[in-house]
Amino acid sequence: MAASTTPMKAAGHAGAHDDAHAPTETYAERLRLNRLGMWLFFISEAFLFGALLAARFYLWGDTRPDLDQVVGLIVTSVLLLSSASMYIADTAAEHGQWRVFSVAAWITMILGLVFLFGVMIFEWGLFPSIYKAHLTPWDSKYGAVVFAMTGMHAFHVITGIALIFIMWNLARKRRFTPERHWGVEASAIYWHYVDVVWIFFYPALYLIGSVVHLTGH
Amino acid sequence: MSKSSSDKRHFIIVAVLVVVTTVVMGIVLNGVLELPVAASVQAHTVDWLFRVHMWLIAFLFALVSVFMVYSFVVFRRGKRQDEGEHFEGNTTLEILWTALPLVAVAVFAYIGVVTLNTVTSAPPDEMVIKVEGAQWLWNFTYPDGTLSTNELVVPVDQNLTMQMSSKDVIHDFWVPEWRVKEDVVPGLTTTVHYTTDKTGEFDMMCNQVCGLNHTLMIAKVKVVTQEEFATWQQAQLVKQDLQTASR
Amino acid sequence: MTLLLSALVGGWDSGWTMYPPLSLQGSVGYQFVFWSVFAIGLSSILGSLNLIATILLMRPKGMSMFRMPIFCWAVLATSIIQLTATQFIGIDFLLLSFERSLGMPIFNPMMVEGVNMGGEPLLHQHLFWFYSHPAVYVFVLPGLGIISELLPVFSRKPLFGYRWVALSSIAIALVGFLVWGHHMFTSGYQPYLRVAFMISTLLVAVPTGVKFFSWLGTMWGGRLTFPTPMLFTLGSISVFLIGGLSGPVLATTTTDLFLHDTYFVVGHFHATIFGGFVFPFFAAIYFWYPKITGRMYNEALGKWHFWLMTPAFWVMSIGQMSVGVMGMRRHIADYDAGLGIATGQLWITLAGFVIAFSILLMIYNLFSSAEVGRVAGANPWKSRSPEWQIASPVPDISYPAPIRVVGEPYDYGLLGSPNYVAVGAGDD
Repeated sequence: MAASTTPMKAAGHAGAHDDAHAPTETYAERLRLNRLGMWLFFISEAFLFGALLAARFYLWGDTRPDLDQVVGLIVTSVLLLSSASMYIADTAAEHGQWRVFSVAAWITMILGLVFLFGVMIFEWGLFPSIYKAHLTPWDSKYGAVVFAMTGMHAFHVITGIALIFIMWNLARKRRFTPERHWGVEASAIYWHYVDVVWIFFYPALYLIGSVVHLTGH
Repeated sequence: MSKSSSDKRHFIIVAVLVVVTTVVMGIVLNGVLELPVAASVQAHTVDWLFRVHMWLIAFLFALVSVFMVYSFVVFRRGKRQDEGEHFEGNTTLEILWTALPLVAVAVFAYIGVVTLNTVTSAPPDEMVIKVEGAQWLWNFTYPDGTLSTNELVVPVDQNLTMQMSSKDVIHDFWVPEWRVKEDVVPGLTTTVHYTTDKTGEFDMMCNQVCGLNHTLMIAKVKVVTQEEFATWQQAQLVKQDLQTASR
Repeated sequence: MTLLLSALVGGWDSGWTMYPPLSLQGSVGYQFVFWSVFAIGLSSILGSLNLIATILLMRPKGMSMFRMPIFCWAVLATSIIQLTATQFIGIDFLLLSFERSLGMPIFNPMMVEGVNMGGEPLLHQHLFWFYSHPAVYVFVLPGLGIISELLPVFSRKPLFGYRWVALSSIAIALVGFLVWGHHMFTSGYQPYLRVAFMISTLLVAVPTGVKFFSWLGTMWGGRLTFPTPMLFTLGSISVFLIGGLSGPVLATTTTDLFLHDTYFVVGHFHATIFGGFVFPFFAAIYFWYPKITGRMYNEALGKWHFWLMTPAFWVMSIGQMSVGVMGMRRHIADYDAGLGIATGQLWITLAGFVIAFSILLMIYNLFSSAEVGRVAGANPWKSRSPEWQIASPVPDISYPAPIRVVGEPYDYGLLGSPNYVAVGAGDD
């Protein structure tokens, strides 16, 4: 949804251009406002993912589909690892170590892509030549909810990767300084947030409830 | 008369007016809002609570409107050029008018729960009728296998349970004279209970928008004596047998 | 735009609540409705984010939270709802759209060997009302804020219990999150939910009562004048009173089982929305008209508007409630003549036309007065609010220097109290 607009707008302001109340506004004030905006956005997003969780518990109750546990565990670990590398990238930006930042950002992006392809290949079965998934979005409420939840999450992962790429590109052009790197900070918080959402989604999809074996397709 | 707003005389006059207005409003409201005939035991409970609520409305309406209109008359500016009296609030009053409504809410919630229990609990020795809603007709199946479409015939003084399901979209089972209504939802079985206590012919209307002919999705409800009901059921069964035989 | 497009490709025939499965079987027009709701929802979320951030961090120096104009509190409460609850209807309509296009069984049941492997129609109602009930407060709270803003000006008295009024807005917004189930009393959900939602819904009466009593306190002992904006403010209170008082009988499940989805509900809703939104909106238009255009509206026409609209509205609203208890269902345009409600319906229709005519009067008034109205001057209402301390219409640059708030917003009737804002004292 609005995933990309807020942090990007914020990043634009880091370059401090025209603004109606610019004369009295310092970078620190702007930063305070940006941070608040970011967190309000997260509160809002929490309700978005909350609605999906509500739908999951309403429809599935204490049952769940038979998803591949190994795949679930691997993609979850990969995503958690990417949070660590993003943390390193953010800290590096704070200290002005732009080489470290750049490497860590790329690791994060690659791990994010691994997560994404893991979900697409093994859960969605987008590439049946590699792996034939047994869930489809239209055969039952199980497939429908899995696709809705992972789909919405994947959309956020994609925007997250795009953001990190933009920040990496801006950093390459020397747009950030250790004092002024709100864009990096924002994309890092965003990435961690997407991660935290998965920490709620993973048990809801893979762990809670007794397995229902789907028959008849 | 003194214009100071804390003068006791103001409050005495207002209190008298509130009482008078409450009585007048209560009578008017209960007169203007006339309910349909009550034809089930549940309906009497609903009506009683409805009337209680009308009196609550009358009182609160009087309380607010009398104070308001009194202020228009007594505290209008007129030819005076000064400003209003300066007071910014009164914490005791605020606490009072937060706490008293809370108590009222508790009381009304309690009455609500008790009456809700009366009108929704299953009565003994009930006749279970299966109701199926479909776009745009109603099918009824009686315990002994009698079938009926768009016509619900039931005996008077009888406990009824409607076991309802839907073939397609959401419908709603509502006989205004029986008061209580309940949706008919695909994928669910919902129930609603009635005890008939008056004979007559009523309309049972679908009250959940269900497409093109929603407005016309009306079944006739006939509450008849036990004997008439037995005759009808007999006739209905004969008709059914003939139909099966001719197939 | 997409909403209008929808009408061209078949429209939608399930009423505005769009309960599936009906909304899943109609024309393709539904898709456009789903998308337009989604788009409006997005703009609503971003707008509220902006407003909350502005209220929390961009107040001028000296304006503590409890020194803000009361309207800001109403906007804050409204924005909290928009920021969060809107996501639920976003997801809801996204899923509806997917179910229509891809056949994802989220809302439509799918029976396989007696077990439902598909969705549940009631899930939509939960998601929908979790947003759409608070959405009513999105309309009403700013309206109540305007009432609280205007009453002190025309009573020449401070707002009674500022803090209580401010916090009651927040309380209404928060309780509003817990009451969605009262739209589902007859939906066939678990019976214990009926009790829970009955109690939470009755609780709304408490903060609403605080507002009513505080308004009475504001007028009591004042020096009341009655120009058009004040008339509409008082009209709001009287109409919102009808709406508010018809609430508890609907909140109580027992009586609601009878009244649910009848015209009684329609009457209740019209009264709350007109009293809480439309009347205050007109009050606000007349009140701020001189500030916007620099000229006064025509007072006589304004009074005509009020005196035509308010009695007509009472007739309409009470008429709707009365035909409702006689058995008129909502969401339908035609009714059974056997119900004996034809006279009532005629009155409602006539009242509707009177209201429409009175609004035409207002539109004419607003357009013509912009040309020929008397020049208003900076502060025709002698208000203490900051916008009235500068020229009308508002110049491009409001203040030559940063401002500082040094007084209370509603300090009427106190000799020697400082102005609300002072210009040019930006630094401590």
